[in-house]
Amino acid sequence: MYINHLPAETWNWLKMNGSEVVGIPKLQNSIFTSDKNGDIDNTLDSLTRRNIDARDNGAMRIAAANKVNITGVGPDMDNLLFDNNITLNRYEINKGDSNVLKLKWTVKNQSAWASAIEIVVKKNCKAVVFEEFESESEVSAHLAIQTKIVLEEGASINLIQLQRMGSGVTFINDIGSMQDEKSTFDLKEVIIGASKTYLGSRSNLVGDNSEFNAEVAYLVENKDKLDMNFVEFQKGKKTNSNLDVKGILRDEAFKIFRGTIDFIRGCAGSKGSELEDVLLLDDTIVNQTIPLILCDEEDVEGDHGATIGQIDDEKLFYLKSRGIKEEDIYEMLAKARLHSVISKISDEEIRNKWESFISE
Amino acid sequence: MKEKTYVEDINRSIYDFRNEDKDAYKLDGGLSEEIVRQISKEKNDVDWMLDLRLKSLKIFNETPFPQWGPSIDGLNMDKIVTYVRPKDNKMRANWEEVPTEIKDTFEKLGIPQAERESLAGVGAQYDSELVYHNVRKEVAEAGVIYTDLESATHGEYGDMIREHFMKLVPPTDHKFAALHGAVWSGGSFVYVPKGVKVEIPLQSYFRLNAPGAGQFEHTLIIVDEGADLHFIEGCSAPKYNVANLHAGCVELFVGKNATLRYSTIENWSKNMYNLNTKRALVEEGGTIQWISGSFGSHVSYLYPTSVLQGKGAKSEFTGVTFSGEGQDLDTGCKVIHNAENTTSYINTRSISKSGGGNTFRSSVNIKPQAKNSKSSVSCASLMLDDISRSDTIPAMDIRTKDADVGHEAKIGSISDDTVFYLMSRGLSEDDAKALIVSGFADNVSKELPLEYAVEMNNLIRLEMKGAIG
Repeated sequence: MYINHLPAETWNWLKMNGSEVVGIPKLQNSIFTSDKNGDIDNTLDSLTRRNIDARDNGAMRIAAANKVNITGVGPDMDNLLFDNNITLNRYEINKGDSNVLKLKWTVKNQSAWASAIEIVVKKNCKAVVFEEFESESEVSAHLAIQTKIVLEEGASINLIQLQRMGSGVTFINDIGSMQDEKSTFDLKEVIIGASKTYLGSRSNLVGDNSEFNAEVAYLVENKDKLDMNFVEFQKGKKTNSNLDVKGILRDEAFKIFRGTIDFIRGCAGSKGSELEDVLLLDDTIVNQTIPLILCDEEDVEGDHGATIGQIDDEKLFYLKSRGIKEEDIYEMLAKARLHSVISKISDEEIRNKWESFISE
Repeated sequence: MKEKTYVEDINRSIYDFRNEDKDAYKLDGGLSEEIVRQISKEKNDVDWMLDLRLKSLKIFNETPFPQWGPSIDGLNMDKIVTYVRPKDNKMRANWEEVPTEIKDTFEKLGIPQAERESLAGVGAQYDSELVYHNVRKEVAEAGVIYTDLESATHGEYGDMIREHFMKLVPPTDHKFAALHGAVWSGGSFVYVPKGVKVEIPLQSYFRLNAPGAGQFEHTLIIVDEGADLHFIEGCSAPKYNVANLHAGCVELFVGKNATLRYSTIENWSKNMYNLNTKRALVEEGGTIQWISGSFGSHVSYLYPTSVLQGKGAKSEFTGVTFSGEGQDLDTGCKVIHNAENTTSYINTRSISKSGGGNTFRSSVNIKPQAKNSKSSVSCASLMLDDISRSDTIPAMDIRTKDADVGHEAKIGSISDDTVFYLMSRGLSEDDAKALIVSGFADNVSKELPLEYAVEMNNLIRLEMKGAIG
């Protein structure tokens, strides 16, 4: 299975173009809880196979332009779910602006689960969706989740994904959004734990004035691996994307961040911005970053900024002068990164629970 | 009614003249062991060189073409002539003795005038062979060696060349490094002894005249401990309707506390595939400065690489790339931090117009032993119309906590706010836009000696009329 493909490849020796995932066992439909509040219909459906080469960005661009909901992990994820006969869970938000959907997976030891979720938000409707992925700390398991978002004209969604997994979990987390005019997708992502996390997110901003905003915070430690691929496919006029990723690497952690702003010809007036801030706490970490801006259009503004390293000396000096030990400063600043995303969770119960996780 | 701004293409007429190659000696097109042996015989190679050529040919045949950059489908290696030389194949140290036609070519390019006015030495290569090499007396007396590479392999520096030649860029590096190893011809050898500061630059100029030919010159520069050198490389060719190929190789060895500035103004014609490899190894406290202006070629793959091998070594890369109609230029740089307290600074600009494609591609690798290393990458791209393309592909791989890495990339068109600001200070709209576009490439021109900055500004002769949009 070839996933998280970079939309424009670079030197092979860097080993950043994409990731091969091997050893995925036979997957079964996940057991998960669903708590609906509002006008939300839930139906079951079957999936279709995707005949697109996972390395063929041209084919993915054409498909996305034709409103096929291409995802960040890529076409091999569609085929993985199809080949394992996974059922599609479709949730349709039909009216109103106070719809809340809470989905929660509690992963069992030795389980090999998958879910295909599709959330359709109808014209001018709003929804808040929580997806929590949890397990006990010693659990060993496989979990593959695909969340496809369809936003009709003027629709908006807040998707909050919270991950806290055990040390033996391999987690493939795949997101794709297909967005009509004036739709908004806000994504918040907190990543803690799992021995291997593959996160792919692709926002297909096909409609004019559509928007994608994401805030991602992660802590990768031990020998864990986090492999990310974000693609903002900006085809509509005056589309807007903002991606803010911050994280902490410690012990022998490995992390790769791929982030692509893809301005397609005709997306006049569009803007795209990516920021990455990585705090490195140990000498045995590996941090890879590859932020792309692909541009076929003149009338756009795209930018990317990255800061990778330790806390700057001035900040460190200030905190030390207040009597805080250096190791406590690093711990405090690491937690602050996770806190900055968790503190914005609107649901008090969920927010308090995750605040307590990072305080442990 | 506003007139749409028209940004002119680079004026190439001063480079686009050609000489008949009826008097040239050339090998058959394509690449085979027989051709490689013929080149070796023509060059009167030392023994180890033929072995290297044949080993490189084998690697070339076994290595796939790159799959990640601009298309090179139009390059048919079976048709490329790998060796062309004037029938009168003798290198001179006296300009007056150079054959008239070749002399006229370099006169038109302004090389002898530059030598008289601002250079410490000049090498001029025409197709596969150097036709002229000279160095100022006082520079030679300081012990600086500046000569053609081939004769140097036979002389007192033969062992030094063997120790360094294709060691930094081995034939296994990539397919075109292997090609270079098999068929290389021409190029310069420079050795600057310990502590010698060469006050004014040396320059090599490469002219490819023959249609359908390749140029494979090798530049090997060794700047010894505490020495200082500025080397300028220029290249051009007339336009033909068949593909030409440039697969040169530059290997730079910067000694302890030495400084080397390597400036390139690349202006190949638009039928050229420029697949060039440049690499520098920098020892403790040494500095490599790359100044790179890429204006020509149909397709370019060009990424000067700095290997910061010693403590406190530094690399600076300053580049500008201008891509117009029919051009797909993939340029950038690589830095490998292999030691403590190393520093790299990358600053590039690219301009795309008339359907031209630009890609900025880079990598910064900070190894676990490179404690307290710093790297800063800044790249900006300007799109002048909506039929062009500009991509930015920077990679960073950091393997120590004691690193400080910053990266910023920006892409856009001419900002209305900036135009408005300049107009509020009294400039007309046309002048404001002209100022923004010409100022965009200023990062490179200000790093060049004055006469080369003027040449570069001539290259980007931009005409602005009316308003963009």
